[in-house]
Amino acid sequence: MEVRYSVTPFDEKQAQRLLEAGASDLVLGIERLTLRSPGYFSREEMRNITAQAHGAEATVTVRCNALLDEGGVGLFRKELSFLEEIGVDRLLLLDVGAIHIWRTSGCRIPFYVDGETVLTSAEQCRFFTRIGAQGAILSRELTEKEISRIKEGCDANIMVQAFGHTCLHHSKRKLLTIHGTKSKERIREAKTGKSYPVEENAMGTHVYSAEVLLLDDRRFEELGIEELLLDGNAMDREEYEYLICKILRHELLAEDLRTSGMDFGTGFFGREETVR
Amino acid sequence: MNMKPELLAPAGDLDRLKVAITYGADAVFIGGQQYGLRSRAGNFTRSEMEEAVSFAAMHGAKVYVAANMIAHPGDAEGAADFFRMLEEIGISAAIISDPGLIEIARESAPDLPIHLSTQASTTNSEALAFWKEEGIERVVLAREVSLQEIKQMKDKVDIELETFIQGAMCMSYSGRCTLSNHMAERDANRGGCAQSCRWDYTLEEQNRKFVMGAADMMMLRHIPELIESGIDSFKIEGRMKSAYYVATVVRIYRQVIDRFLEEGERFRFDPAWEAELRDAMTRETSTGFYFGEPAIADLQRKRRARKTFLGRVVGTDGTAGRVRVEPRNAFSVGDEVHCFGPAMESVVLCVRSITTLEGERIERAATPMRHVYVELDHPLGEDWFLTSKG
Repeated sequence: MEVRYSVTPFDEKQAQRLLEAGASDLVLGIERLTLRSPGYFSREEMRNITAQAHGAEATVTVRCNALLDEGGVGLFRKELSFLEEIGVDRLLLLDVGAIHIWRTSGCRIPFYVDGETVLTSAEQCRFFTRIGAQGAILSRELTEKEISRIKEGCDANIMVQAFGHTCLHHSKRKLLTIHGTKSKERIREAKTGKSYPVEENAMGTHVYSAEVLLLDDRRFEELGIEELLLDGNAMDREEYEYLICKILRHELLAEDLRTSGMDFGTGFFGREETVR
Repeated sequence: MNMKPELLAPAGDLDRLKVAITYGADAVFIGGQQYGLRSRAGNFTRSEMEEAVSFAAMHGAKVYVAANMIAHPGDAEGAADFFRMLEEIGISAAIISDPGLIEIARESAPDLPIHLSTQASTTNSEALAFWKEEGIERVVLAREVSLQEIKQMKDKVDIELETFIQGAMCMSYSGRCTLSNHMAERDANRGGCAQSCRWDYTLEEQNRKFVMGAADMMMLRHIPELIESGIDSFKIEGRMKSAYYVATVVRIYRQVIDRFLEEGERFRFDPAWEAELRDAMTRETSTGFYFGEPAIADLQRKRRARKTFLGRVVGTDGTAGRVRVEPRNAFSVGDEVHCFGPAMESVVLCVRSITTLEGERIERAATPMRHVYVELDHPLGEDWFLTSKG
């Protein structure tokens, strides 16, 4: 079984370079339909990237994982037919409202449920496969043992974030704007002194993990997990591309990690016991 | 003709449940020993739930059980028995957000209605339609929807809607925050939230304060608009709050709801209601997302509750004007105290004397929880509350 890597290009040119490095799947964002994404793409760009990806025998996934408001419902419905027309391979959906639209519109693009913090059990995966999901992206707050139990307990394809900052907190409030500052900042927690990246976009404010998740893909082969998400949220575009290309080419060295200046870790995956 | 909404109050234990219902709640929500999100609240055992259901039934009220944790592998073992038990003892609904637990509840307890928790972040009419098709009876909307959106949603989908009107708010979409997991080793979605959003943060480059806690919600002034929007249930947050707080909040909202329904266009909001409610609150207030995007003023700012909770009447000894009081904070002979009970009006009374249970007259009740007899210049009933005048 070969692990598939889903990567998150910041723009069209980077998408091309990631394909050349061996990415199996490009994950794209749409400004008003994606919770958070390093890159947001126009229709024209998505059409081009989809053609390029298919030419390279890769796939395109569009993250439509926003919590929709009444306006977003109409926008998603319109966008869905366009995405079908250009041959996108997969959607990531979080809002059951979006799933309802997918179901009632007869859309044929397969979807994975992207539950973020709240997709944590095999029972949930079974619920979502019953209503049409082909797979699920699990919460980052799960241990390796828990992921293994989920995999054993359901038929869904399982995707796990294996690289990048993980999102710890999503508020609809525009907290950086409210504080009169720019849309990308770092905040420091007083007691521990730890520093966390914070970003604001059309969906609100997102606080990310202090450390960059970096998981060994060999562990996933043993677990039977086929798909890994290498996420670029809250990262520098060049650093992301450099490290991801190394990972895709299986050339990542300890030296690369050291020189990046980032703190890497194994998050909850690396813990023996779950946090209660 | 406006429909009468349900006033839904929190109850951390049996005592607070009885207070909430006595003070006018149409329904209460409680936690069981498992599957809730308030592991530190005094959650109910089976026998306590049975007593709760029986007490509520006598007063024409309903009891809902919050089972809104997000389950990890292994957590759902025993869930079928738990939901069957709720069904057997006559709980009016289970409040659930985890779709896996919803499935288990539906299969194991088909006659137990399910309310979708706010943790499920429901923000649009398509999601309502989805849950209606899944057999959900009521949806507790995300706090991030506006009143205008609520009206649109209500017009499009015929399903019961419940919204928060009072109490603490998550800064995040509820359930979409794991700060506590990462910073305090406590799972926010399994009852362990350490409220890390309310800790101290600074914007690193600028070295100035970054506030992530939210002001508390208070919708008292806007009850008429909420009723007119067709919301079915008005929820008060706070299973960890005291009986005094629950009594104060329920009593005031009950007055405003009933007065508006009775008076209609003649209704005029009395600022004294709001003042009394604020006196019991320790944070500044906000209307959240009901009327648009919250601003800087809607962030957490602490305030001192203006009134101090002095004690609660726990009985009488048959002597007119003399009641047995469970003190919480010190008061003295000669103090003027504010007293309120389940009836609408409150009174200011003078403490005429204080006597220990052993019969010794004392000048000051200074020991919390040590019951005393208090003589006042007006008779009070059981479960009245005494506070400072403010």
